[in-house]
Amino acid sequence: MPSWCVSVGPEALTTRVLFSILLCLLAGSGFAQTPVRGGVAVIAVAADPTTLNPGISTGSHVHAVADSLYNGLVELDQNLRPQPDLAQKWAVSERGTVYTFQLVPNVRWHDGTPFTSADVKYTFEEILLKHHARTKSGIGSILASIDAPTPGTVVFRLRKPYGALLQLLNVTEAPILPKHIYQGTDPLTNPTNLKPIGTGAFKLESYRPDQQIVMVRNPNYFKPGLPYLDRLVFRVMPDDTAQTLALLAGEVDFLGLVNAPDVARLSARNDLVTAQTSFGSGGGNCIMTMSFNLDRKPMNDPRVRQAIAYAIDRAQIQRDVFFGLGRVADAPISSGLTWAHAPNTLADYKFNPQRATELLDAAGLRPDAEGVRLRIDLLHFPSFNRVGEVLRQNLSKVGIRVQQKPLDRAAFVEAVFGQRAFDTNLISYCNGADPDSGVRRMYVSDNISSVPFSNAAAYRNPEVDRLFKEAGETDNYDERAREYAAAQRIVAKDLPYWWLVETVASSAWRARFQGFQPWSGEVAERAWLRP
Amino acid sequence: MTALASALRAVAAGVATWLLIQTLLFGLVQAAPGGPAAALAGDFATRETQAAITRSYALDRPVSAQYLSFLKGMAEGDFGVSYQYRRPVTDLIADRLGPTLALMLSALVISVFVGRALGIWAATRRDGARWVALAAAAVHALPVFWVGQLLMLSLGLELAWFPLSGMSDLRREPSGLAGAADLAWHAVLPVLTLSLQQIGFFVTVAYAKARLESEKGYVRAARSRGLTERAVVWRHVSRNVAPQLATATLNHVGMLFTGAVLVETLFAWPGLGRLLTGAILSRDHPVLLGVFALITSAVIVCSVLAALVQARLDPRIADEREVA
Repeated sequence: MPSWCVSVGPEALTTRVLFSILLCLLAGSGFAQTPVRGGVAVIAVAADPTTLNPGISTGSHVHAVADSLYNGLVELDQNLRPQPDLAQKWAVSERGTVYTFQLVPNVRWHDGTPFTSADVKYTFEEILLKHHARTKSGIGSILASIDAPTPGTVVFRLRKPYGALLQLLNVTEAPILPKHIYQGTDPLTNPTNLKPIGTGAFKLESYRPDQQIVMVRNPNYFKPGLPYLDRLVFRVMPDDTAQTLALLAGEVDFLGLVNAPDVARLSARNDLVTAQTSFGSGGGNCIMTMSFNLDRKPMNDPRVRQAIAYAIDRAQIQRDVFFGLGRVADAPISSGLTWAHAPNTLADYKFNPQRATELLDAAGLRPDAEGVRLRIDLLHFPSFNRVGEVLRQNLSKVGIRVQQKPLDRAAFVEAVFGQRAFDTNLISYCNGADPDSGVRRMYVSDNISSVPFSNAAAYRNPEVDRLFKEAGETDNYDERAREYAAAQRIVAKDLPYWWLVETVASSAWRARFQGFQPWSGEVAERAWLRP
Repeated sequence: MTALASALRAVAAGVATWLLIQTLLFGLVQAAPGGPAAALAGDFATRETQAAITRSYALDRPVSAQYLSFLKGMAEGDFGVSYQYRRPVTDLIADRLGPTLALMLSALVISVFVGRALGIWAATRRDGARWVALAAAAVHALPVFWVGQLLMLSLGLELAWFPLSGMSDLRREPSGLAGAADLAWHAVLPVLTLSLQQIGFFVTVAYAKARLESEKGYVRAARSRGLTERAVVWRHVSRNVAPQLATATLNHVGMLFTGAVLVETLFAWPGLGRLLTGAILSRDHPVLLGVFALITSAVIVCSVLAALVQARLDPRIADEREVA
């Protein structure tokens, strides 16, 4: 059977807020077919969700499952443009500080209670802004008030214009929860967290921890005709090799995250579809980044940081560790955010070990008897081990001896953001849908604290602070683009981080299925099974 | 020493060991880098959020106070409430105990039975069949994860004889008798994976003991009396291998738990091992200590039983303490 592939690189996309997608589809799989109702889809997830309340957690293990039971005010399409979800339309005031949402009429919770604007107000005020860490830090400081003037209208008033608001209102960032269930209770311990009542396309049938979560079609779903599937089952499978084998064996229909080494094998199969997306639940537009601890000698010497940048063969990392997927970073902001990305900002740092040794000499770091100029540690998650190995090999060639310290998430957070006990580390910094929520946190000086995954380098530059502040306060995208480009040129010179590779996540599913939305929390809302 | 006194001594030693291990584990859990607040708070959680979590779980109390309430809880059989599930630890353990016991006990029965038969058979052959002992040692040394993946690839994927994951068919969800058959079907690969490694161990134990026995006078005497080889081996030799196997089995429970953790992860089998690994990653101290307490208890009860069984099956042991 003839097959064809479309590859749409980021450079080919012209819209403002974007991601890249590569789809390999079989000819004859047919776009024009009418969706058919019925069928069961089995989705593998890596960890037990532990709670089915997506409003109290940012964990991807929670959202991968629970988002199918709920809705946001908006849904993001695969280009991250907001589309109607619980809000059917919205208007933004001239100054960009008042957002008025018209809600879809006659939406009902799974228990039959009508959904109203009071649910939205309650969810933000009592749950999201208290317990959802990303929404709390993202919207919390901008939001002045939420009003619910009529049951079908919600008004968000902001302290300042904020161009990225709509991107933060999807089901993953801001799921809407039922006020009548949660009011007057502790949302962290409410038993409904395990027997959720949502507005979503699917209703919970049963949840067996560490085993499976079974959902059935919501017959009263407010989007006419949706969903198509009768049942949606999530099986908890911690081992990624076992996940891949189960997909091949047909026990599983959809894998949200495929191991890079398995992508080639899976995409060669006719009965499977693979898709690469730089966006996914809980992040997206991620750059594998090396942070330098600027509070420590000699990492505070720009010549040492430049030497490290010259010494690292990033093309080798992209080729050997990520199997050619993604691309070598050419700017501090991901190319997925096309309008904010400043191409070739890092062009000066071509791989050049000779230049690295000259810089180390200039910094006074000369080889000792063993040929070692500098000993540093490199903290990272165990899953980044191979990236660390390449760094260690590259840097040893210029006399820098790297000690890799793999730590699990809790220990890493404590060492890097609590005690700041490191020379360098590896973090996959996700730029998300907008630089104000996903990039700013790495660079602004008021973010040097114990906030996990914020300004790991402890970078301070008043000019960069000012540029990010101004870019965050306007929704004039030309102006924002100029400011972000200026900020990128400065940080490329200061080099608090070394941006290695823009990574992509790959998902895979059985070709019998159409309509999966791997970029969205509402992954199976439009999925259907070909007869 | 009377049997009662020796039994009492074994029990007392067991209780003391249990307390010591629980204290050590409590210390280790406290010393692990990165606490529950770092693990539970979201990616961009502020300092206040982390502090609030610390307060809400009373983790800001001095360690000594936490240790005392931990001991008190243990004494009352109350393991506390899981940080991440927000449910009582005893409920969580009760949910996972069944699948783990099913996996461990099936594997244990199969591996003891097969290991004993193979080991005794090889040891009592005239050539001594050393290759069986060598092969058994090799199989025992294979990493469980790797063996499991090989079985998944061959029997699960290529031949498609057995399902690869979980305890049930998610598309059909059969119930009643068909449900039991479905469960057994799903258990084949995990049980086989866990058994293979344990068979290696039990062959080694049975082989070594049976070799020793087969050189003893009573075996020669039995043969010279004209008993069939089958009677000599399976009536006389095997009876004297039994105490050794029984104690080895009981002393092996800890190893079996370790194997179960890996097998459960690989085959998406929802047991205690999965609960334990999840609790480690999220620094869910109550779950961690609860599961540890259960495993420690099981291991210690089994070793006390082993001592008692050994004395009962072979009274000489109390004096002789043979080394096989």
